[in-house]
Amino acid sequence: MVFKKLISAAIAVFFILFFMTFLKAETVISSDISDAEFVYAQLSCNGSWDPYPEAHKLISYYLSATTSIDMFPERKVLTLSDKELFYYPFLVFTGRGSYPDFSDTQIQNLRRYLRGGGILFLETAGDPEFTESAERTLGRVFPSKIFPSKIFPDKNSDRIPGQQFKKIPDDYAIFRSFYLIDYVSGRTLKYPYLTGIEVESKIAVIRSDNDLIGVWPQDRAGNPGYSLMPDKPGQRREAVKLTLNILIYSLSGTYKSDDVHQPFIKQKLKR
Amino acid sequence: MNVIFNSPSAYIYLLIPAAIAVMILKPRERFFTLRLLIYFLLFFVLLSPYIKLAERDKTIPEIAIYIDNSLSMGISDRINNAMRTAEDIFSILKSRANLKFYKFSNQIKEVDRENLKNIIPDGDSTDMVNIIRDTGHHGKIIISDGRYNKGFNPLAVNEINSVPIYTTGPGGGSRAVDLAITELKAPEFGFRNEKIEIDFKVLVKGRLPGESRVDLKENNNLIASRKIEPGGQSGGQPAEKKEIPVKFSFIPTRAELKNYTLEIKALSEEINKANNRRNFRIHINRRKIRILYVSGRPSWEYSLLRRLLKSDWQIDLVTFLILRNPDNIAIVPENQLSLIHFPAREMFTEKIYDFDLLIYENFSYKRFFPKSYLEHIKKFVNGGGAFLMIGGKESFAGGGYIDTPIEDILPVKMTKFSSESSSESPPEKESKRQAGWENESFKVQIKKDIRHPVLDIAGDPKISQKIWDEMPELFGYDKSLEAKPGTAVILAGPKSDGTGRVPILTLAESGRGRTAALNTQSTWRWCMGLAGEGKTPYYYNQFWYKLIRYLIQSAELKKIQVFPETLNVNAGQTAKINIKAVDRYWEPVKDAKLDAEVLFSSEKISSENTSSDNKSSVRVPSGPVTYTGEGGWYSVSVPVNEVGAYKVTVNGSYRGQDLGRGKAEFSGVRLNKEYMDTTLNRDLLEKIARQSG
Repeated sequence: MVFKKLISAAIAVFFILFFMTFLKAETVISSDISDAEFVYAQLSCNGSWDPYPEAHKLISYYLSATTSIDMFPERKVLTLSDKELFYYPFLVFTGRGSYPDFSDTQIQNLRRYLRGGGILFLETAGDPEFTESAERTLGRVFPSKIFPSKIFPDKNSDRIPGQQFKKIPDDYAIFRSFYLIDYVSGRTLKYPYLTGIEVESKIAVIRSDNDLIGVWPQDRAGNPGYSLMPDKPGQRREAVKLTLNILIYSLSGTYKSDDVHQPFIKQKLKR
Repeated sequence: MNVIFNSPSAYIYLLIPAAIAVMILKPRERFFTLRLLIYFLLFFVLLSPYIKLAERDKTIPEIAIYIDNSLSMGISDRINNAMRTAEDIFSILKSRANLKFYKFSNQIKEVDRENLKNIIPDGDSTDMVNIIRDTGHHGKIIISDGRYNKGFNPLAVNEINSVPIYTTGPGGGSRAVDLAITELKAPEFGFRNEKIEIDFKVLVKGRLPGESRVDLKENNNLIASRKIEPGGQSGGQPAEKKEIPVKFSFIPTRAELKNYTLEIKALSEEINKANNRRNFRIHINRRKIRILYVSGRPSWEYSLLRRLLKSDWQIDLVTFLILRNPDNIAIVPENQLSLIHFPAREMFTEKIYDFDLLIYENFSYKRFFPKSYLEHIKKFVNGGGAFLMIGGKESFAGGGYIDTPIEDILPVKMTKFSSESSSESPPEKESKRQAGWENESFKVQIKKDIRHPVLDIAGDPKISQKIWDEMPELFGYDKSLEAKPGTAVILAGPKSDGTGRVPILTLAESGRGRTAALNTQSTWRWCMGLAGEGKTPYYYNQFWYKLIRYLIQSAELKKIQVFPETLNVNAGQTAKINIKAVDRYWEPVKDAKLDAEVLFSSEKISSENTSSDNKSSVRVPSGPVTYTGEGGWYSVSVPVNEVGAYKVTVNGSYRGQDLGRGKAEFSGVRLNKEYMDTTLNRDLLEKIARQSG
């Protein structure tokens, strides 16, 4: 019995090592930030904006290993005052606790950024103070957003009361951009949906409240850095898939909503 | 002359013999004479007799002989038969009548008998009404096939004429058989990938056995065929004359001016094979611009350009984005991936011809299909399609396009780096692919006249120049690219080593299509950069709008557009040409100065080459260009005297601003009814003679 367990453990270790070797051998990662097609850019503020300083490394690694995207392994930290902001069209914003309001110029920059084609991934992790600050920020960015919507269903129930955010439809491209998502996941499972703000016929602000980024950090032994709640089967896998989908969506847009894909996707969803 | 004795003075003359009789005769004789005079008197009073002395007319009658010289008389030696008939009539009637000879078609003209043999069948229509109405002769003889096709029905005017008419046919045609295409209904305009229907009738004259076939050809390529049975269904009784309705429908796949031909397979018995064929043209337009966009990796260029193209209602966009390569690993089972198979064979050997523009962005074909498929892309472009290669490390030489058909059509020369070895690791291969790639920021420089349609993004050269000067920087280019001779470098960038300039946007023509090499993958920086400056992405949008329209050769980029009202104008008529003029803001203008030049060539317009070859052309005087009164529309009239190709070029200016030129073509044709139905109309000739008495 003990022998069988040892054999199983040996096989498992072998596959893990093999996987890591394979990953390192075939993954093409840019050594120069200006050379990469995709850079994980993170927005800083005068608050606690960096709960998972190492998460981007594994995200970058996974994205480069599993897709054709050439991603830079290091992140780029930006403020809303940086001129470079507009050359990083994907921006992650997360944090804990409240933060001081951005200046009017910074709010204007964020508005221009989103209208110019940039995408903001807002991860509140369900933190009420950070959520309140972030909603106040977005409320200033789009104080009277009354653009006709092409993406969101025209139902009042889908609108988050008092906010600019709406539930993102289950069949939207984010949920199909690379992986087929079984359910909306994260380190927690408080909200079974993502919400977003539509700008120029595209969802430009994607919001998660389930702490998607929190599933990525690992300790030195490669074990998950944070436990899942409630640790539902497949919870981590679905969170990984959804994170990568959000990144791929920023680069591919509504590609997976094209007619050519629909028969294949519907067939696979019947599985 | 008539002499009439019914005057009252005549009775006075009767009293004279009565007085003599009373004076000199015996009583018995006197009474007899008086009684006799009374009888005469009663006879004259009651009956009023008179004597009419008529003088006989000794002049000989004048008879007119009308010989049909319309085109239909040129069939089956009819005209010569008509001459012989006229000579026979002359020899019979020459001593008893004064004979005058006339030829007629659309008008009547007297001819000398000596010149009868010189009559040629060249009249383009037949009008018999004027012959019927002619009352200047004692009799008329018509020698004709009876195929009137102009003016009133001669039977309708025959009743008011009392001059006897004799009719005779040219002989040899009463049993003639013929097939003809009639009542052709074909649109002059259609849309690519949408059904076009053509209706017509096959006119069957005479009893024709067996079956024939009608073919529809597009630019001399057979696209549809239909069997017809002129003699009727087997077992049925063939009719003397009937019409078979035929309908063809087809779907044109390319937007261009196309020549079509309908042709009935001629039967040996037919007297006229010319009417078996009809040519017509249809201008096939795009309802939407179809673009196939293939990107080798997800990128910001793809993301923002896709969003722009998707928002353009005139564009029908199909994209393929390579999300995973064979060397990528999978962390979940296949059924949890939304990936689909890239249908390379289908797209690049069959479907490609359905598109107007093919875009390759950072895409290397080597992983997905064989080099032979690239031949289809070359064929697609040379046939009128457009191809744009957008840079990236896997474009141009990095994509393996050296020594491929793509190299032939691209406007740039690529430099080959040392070949990859299978033993090399991916980073080594990547390094070689990147050998020509330069990671540098740069500002684009205008290398052509700012009035080039791709560069004039503001519609005003001065404003456009200023906008280009202020455009945000781009990033990354292949320093090894060089423009080929004869191509147009529109935008360039400085080489980082200071050794010159590198082409950023190069344009060229290949066959009937256009190609472009965009040597960077970063025009998205214009969009985001403009946003960062508080500007809208309008000029990024305009750049792409204009580049795409330029590549597909859209007429939208022209400020002057020329539209013939009809593409086929009958010789002898006037063509109306409509002209649309807009200013730099694409607003219609009413005070534009427009000059139209029309060149005629007797050669047929060929869809294979619409470029103007004026070597054998002659200038046709046209009327003045006049404003129609609304919407920037002008018109000009062009007399069409000959059969052939007419090319119209309109140059324009508006308040000192050059509007450029617009071009269009139309055909002078001879759609002659004389050849539509050429069989002998014996029935008509008989009725004309009968009605005249």
